Amino acid sequence: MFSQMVVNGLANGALYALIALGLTLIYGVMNLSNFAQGEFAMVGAFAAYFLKQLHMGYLLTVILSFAVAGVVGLICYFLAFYPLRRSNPLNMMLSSMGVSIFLVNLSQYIFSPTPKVVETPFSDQSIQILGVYLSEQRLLIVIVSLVLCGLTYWVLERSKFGRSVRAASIDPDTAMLYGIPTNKISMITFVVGVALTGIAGALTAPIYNVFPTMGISLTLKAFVVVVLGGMGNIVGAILGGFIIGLIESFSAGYISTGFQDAIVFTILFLVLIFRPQGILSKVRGEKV
Amino acid sequence: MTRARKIYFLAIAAICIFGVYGSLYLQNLYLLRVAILAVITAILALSVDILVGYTGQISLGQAGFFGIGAYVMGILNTNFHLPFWISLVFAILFTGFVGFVLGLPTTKLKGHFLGIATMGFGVIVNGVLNNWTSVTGGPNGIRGIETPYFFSISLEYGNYFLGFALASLFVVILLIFLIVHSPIGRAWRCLRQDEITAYVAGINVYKYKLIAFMLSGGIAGYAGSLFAGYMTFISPETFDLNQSISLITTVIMGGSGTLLGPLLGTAILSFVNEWLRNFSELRLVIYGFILVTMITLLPEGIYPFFKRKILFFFTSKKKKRSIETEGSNGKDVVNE
Amino acid sequence: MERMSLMNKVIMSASNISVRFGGLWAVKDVNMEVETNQVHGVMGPNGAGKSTFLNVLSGLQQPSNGYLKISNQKIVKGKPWKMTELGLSRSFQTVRLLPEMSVLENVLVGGHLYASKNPLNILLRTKKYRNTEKVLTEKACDLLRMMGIEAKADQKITGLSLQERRRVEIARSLMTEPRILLLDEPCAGLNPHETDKIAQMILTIKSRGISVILVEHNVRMILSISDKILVLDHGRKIAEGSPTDITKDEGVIKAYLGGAAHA
Ligand SMILES: Nc1ncnc2c1ncn2[C@@H]1O[C@H](COP(=O)(O)OP(=O)(O)OP(=O)(O)O)[C@@H](O)[C@H]1O
Ligand SMILES: [Mg+2]
Repeated sequence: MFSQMVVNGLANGALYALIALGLTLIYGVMNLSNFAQGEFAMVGAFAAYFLKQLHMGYLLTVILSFAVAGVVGLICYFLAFYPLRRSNPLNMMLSSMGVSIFLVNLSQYIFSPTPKVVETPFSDQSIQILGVYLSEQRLLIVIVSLVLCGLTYWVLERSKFGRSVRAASIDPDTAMLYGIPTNKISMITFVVGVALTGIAGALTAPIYNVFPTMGISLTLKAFVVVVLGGMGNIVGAILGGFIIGLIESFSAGYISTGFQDAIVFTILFLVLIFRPQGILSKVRGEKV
Repeated sequence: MTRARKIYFLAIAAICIFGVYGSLYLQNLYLLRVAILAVITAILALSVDILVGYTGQISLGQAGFFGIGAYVMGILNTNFHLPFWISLVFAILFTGFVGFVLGLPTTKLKGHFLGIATMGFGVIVNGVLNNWTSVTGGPNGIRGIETPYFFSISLEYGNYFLGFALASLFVVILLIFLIVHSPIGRAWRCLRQDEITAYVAGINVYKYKLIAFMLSGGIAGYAGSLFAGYMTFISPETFDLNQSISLITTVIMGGSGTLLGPLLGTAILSFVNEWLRNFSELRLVIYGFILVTMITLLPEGIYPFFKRKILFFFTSKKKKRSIETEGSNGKDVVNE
Repeated sequence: MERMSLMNKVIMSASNISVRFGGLWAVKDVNMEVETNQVHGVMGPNGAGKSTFLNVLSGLQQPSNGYLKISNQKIVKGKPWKMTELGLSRSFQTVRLLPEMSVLENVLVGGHLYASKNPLNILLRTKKYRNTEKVLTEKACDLLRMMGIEAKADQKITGLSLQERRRVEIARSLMTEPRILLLDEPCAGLNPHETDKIAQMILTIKSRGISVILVEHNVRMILSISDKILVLDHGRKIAEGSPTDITKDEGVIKAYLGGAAHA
């Protein structure tokens, strides 16, 4: 029972980590709290569903969902965020809320609110590891998420592009002076950030089904994860993802599923009060 | 008070009286319902504006206050059989208190963090309303809330209720006006623009943020009670994250930090909402699209935009030039 | 020197103030006594810790070590607004004004402590309320006049020159009725003529019975108007005394004037 909860928590955690990773990247570079983040998981999931209807292999649909979410992200970026790049963060945030409403209801219009099932060659087969049952699908989620998180981390830390991204997120104006094209960096970060979330959507699709409002609770969770790990902190987001996954799994197991969200947010409050900079980041004071 | 100001105030008072009086003659029941809900939304939007506009504190959990106000009314009125007016007082005091308690930790937070924390507040309240079934009735909500008598006038008649709601709105507007144009409002605007300046001016920043949270909570709670009294039935789904988001967009779109902005925003969004009913399924798709377009095109808000344009239209050419240069400077300073 | 210390009372003292940022001691074991009716100069090369020291005095920075005493009252964890209530006020190295408000309003903000904040008075607009507001507005206008910018009272800050902004900031600080005024490089970026005017203004402020702590890079200016000077380098006090003492101090000449022994 206990170890089963741990395993489920970790599997969900990997997913949250992946979504939060995109959210935190976008926050870091664009100073945008993207309330439409979860909607890109929904887009990815519907892409997987739709492509599956065309008799594509599941793994291929997962890869394509990355592209679909990325393209949708690119369009949204130019319509909703690019015009506000010099405006205040609150307006950007509201714009992302508008995007969220738009995407949720558009997919409701196109696909209807009824949950869809996406089949996967992995779904039914559970494998037993040390007395704990883990479906292959969940194993796939954990592996893909970890690989993608690791890859992103590696790109950010090691590549020239990654260095530019980090520079742009620390101080966009100075970065611009050094010839770093911050607008382009913003665009790429946004697109990659939401495309990663798209994959997360395609990965969960077989477990939780696909429906238009599926992204909303994912957005909320991702925010909690990002705050927990420290806004803009990549390692923090990954770690935070697993922590929230575990907490959620335990609260569902020991308390009640209904209070799950309330409990997650209560934890968020405690973090905000006692460690507003997140569990990993250091405090940065304002210089007078 | 100068003479021009006196005339200005008399004119507004006249509008208020005519508004309340005119509401008695609205015949169309559908319009009546839309108008009443719009007035309640306007009160809520103003409560958001206290935080977002005047104090610069993002609130993504206003539906939480709204819901608490409505449920305090519902519970006291149905379970404890307290009269509407007494429940109303409790609802306002309690939501004000909740604003205070929420403010204790959140006044230390800024920007995105504050946004997420207040959003968390809304989600937690909604979670409690949905799950604490023994008290709140869970997803089924509370039925049979009394619609009050105002002295001997039953507000069950939509016209009377609209008149009462409008009068409440005007009182709220007056209240906010008086506070905003006072040292308290000055302290709010100061800490919104720069907290460090507020510090050295001797302003206890946290105290003034707390005042804003309490006032905002209390007013939203009042709107909640009004809503409960009008609908006689409440359930958690009215008080969810969407409600909070819609309220803050109303304020930003109309023009935050002004009194007319949120009213204008409410009027426009209520109208758009009703108009979109023609599109049934596509309604919210278009709504989202309009939201994004409005914010990207007029990020400063509709009311400030038109006010600037109209004032600009009436200024002399010479002045125009100086305003233009000043305006460009202003942008630089704000962006810094 | 002797005569002065007999006449002047110590109103604030800072004892062993130290501030650490990570591995760096921005300020280390600095002592200072502020006397009534004096201009205290604070000098030091860039990064010496002058602004950080002022931040500690005004409560914006909690010292890692040491404490302040105002009128023999020990201050522990002084909140910035408390310091203002106790009679400290300051300007900033990079001017801090409110861009969305007019010049007059910016100054009025400084009158917060004396404004009528009782909700009942505010809601009923009682006579008392209207009177205090009127008195405050008049006081703000007076200060603007003293600073020579009353003509711009209704303008937005964005239309003002740097010099004018500095003056508005000083007017706002005076509005809090301080006993001690802290000025962080009030002449940075100003030309010699404007600098002289600010120097004049500081002397006027002093003549009103307000002590001034003045941080300034302009050596000529600070030497000419200070009664007493404190020199910091790498966060430590390297000299303290009258302007003439300071110009003769070997350590100061070495650290501050970079060996070029002419002052
Ligand atoms: N918030 C901070 N975090 C980290 N280091 C800081 C901070 N504020 C100041 N410092 C460092 O402390 C040292 C002292 O800075 P301070 O601003 O007090 O110097 P200053 O004497 O005012 O210099 P200047 O003449 O350039 O204004 C500097 O090395 C500075 O980089
Ligand atoms: Mg300095």
